[in-house]
Amino acid sequence: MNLADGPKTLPFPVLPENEQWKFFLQKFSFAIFVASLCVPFKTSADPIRKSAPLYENPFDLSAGGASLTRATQEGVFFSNPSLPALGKGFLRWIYGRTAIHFGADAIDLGREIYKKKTAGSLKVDSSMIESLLKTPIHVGNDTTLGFISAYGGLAIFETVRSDIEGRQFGSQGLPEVRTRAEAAAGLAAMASMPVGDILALGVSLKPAYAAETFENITLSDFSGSGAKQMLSDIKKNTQYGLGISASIGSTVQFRTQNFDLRFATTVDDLGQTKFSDPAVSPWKQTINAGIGIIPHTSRSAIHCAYDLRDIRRAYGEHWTRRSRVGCKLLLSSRLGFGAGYYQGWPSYGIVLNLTLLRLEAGSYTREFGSEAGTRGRRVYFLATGAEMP
Amino acid sequence: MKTFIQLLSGILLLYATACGRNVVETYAPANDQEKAELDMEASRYEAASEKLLKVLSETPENYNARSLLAAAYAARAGITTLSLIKNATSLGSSGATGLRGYTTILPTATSDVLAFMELACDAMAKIPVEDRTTEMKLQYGLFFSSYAFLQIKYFLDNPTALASLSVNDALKLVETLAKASEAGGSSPLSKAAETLSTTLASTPGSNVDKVKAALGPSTPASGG
Repeated sequence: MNLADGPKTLPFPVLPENEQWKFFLQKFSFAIFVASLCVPFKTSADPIRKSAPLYENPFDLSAGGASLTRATQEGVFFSNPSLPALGKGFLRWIYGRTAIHFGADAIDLGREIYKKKTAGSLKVDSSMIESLLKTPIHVGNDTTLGFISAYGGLAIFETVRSDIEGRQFGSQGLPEVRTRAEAAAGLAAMASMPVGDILALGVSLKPAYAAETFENITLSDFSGSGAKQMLSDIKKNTQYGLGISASIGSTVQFRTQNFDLRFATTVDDLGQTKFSDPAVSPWKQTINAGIGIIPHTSRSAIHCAYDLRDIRRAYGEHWTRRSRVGCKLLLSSRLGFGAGYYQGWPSYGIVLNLTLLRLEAGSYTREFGSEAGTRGRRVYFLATGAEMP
Repeated sequence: MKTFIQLLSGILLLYATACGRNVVETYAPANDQEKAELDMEASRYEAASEKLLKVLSETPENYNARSLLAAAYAARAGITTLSLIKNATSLGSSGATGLRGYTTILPTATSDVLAFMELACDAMAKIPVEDRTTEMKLQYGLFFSSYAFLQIKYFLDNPTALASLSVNDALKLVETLAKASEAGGSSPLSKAAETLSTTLASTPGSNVDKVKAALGPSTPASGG
């Protein structure tokens, strides 16, 4: 079927019998897309992550985070559960992976402290405290283990992000330390199914413990019994609970010899994800859509994609914060490069696949302001894992 | 393959032109208060003041913005809470005593410095007492005591100005000390302001006489 003719044939097509089935599937996928826009949702207080997926594969992040039409390995559990059905072969991966993420500022400060320590000039004085106050610290870790087949997969995962940021003037003019952390750990199960040649559908369930804390500690909290109060506040503001996040996804793929086109839509936190502790902010239902174009040879491919997350603005974020765009260059399944814009900030990374060992490294920028471009913080990551392709 | 390479080159070129900047920043809605916070961290106090004044013109009851505006004015006077705390810890070990001793942790009391501190105190005073957070109360006390000691520093550095002290200037100092005293606080400046305010209150005579008596060359309080 010639893609260029597609729109002309849409209203009342007269197609050969074998094409009618494909046409029906196109309509069906479109209907799923439209239906997904109409799923009801409730509103409540927001979690820290907002419209971002619960888990993002580091290499996907380095390629701008646009993963709805192509996600890397375990990323499919969280981005689009219909994707495994589009590949070739039954068993895709059995894998184990861990990744660490460090904020660039913290690395610079650590390097400076190490230099001073080796030079014997390190001393804890007011200038060092001021440096610590002015240096945001971001650390993160992801660990996952599982298998993925053409019809689904099963995994265990944990993801942690922790941020400490000192501000000389804070939000009211006084020195302030802002702490925030979010974590999730649990199971991820996914089922995916090809429907004809061009459509894939999928569903995933992620029963997980989630925890988050957000605390601003101002200077006045350090005085008197402030230290005890500070710990008490952090403990009080740390919320955690068990919830089951459900997602559905669909992907439509049009293939030619050297060019593929994909459209994907997913609904995350279907009907909203509530937690065993009502104090934990429920995760709102988000509807996400993406497009991917894939020029390719028989062995290599460039996958360029754009994702718009939370298209119904359940979290009220501006489109600039909900956009991810980027490309992945994959050479013979051995070497990959990623580059893109994650919420408008540039990102890049590399992946090296050594049959059993997989190495990923790269950088992306996390936005800590309320709007894109306000307060970006560069983060470096290193991921390693074992896999049986 | 040629198309493949051309496409790749195009993407790389597009990517390289961004030079690490956020490419959608110009399309994002502006959050002036948040940008003012960033200006403050980057020592762009004037830019922060402008943004905060804009925020306050739209939402006058945004007391966080008002408190931050006060901090911006104080910073333009060379005074930050962090510097006050850092310097206050060295106050005891420096051997400085008396009113002169307390003024050593403050910048030179030029007319600009005094004007900015007056603006800072005015901004803090515009926050209703019942709406002041613990942090705002602390900042209120610190700014008023700093402003009071800046005025004292000015008179100690300019004996002729003290000799020709006007009623208004004397009243301003007495009122500033009274407000610093009301705010309380455990910082050395706040405590000194409280002591001085009590002394002035118990001194007979007009405000001009009281200030001259407290700051005059014959008083031990002005030694240092």
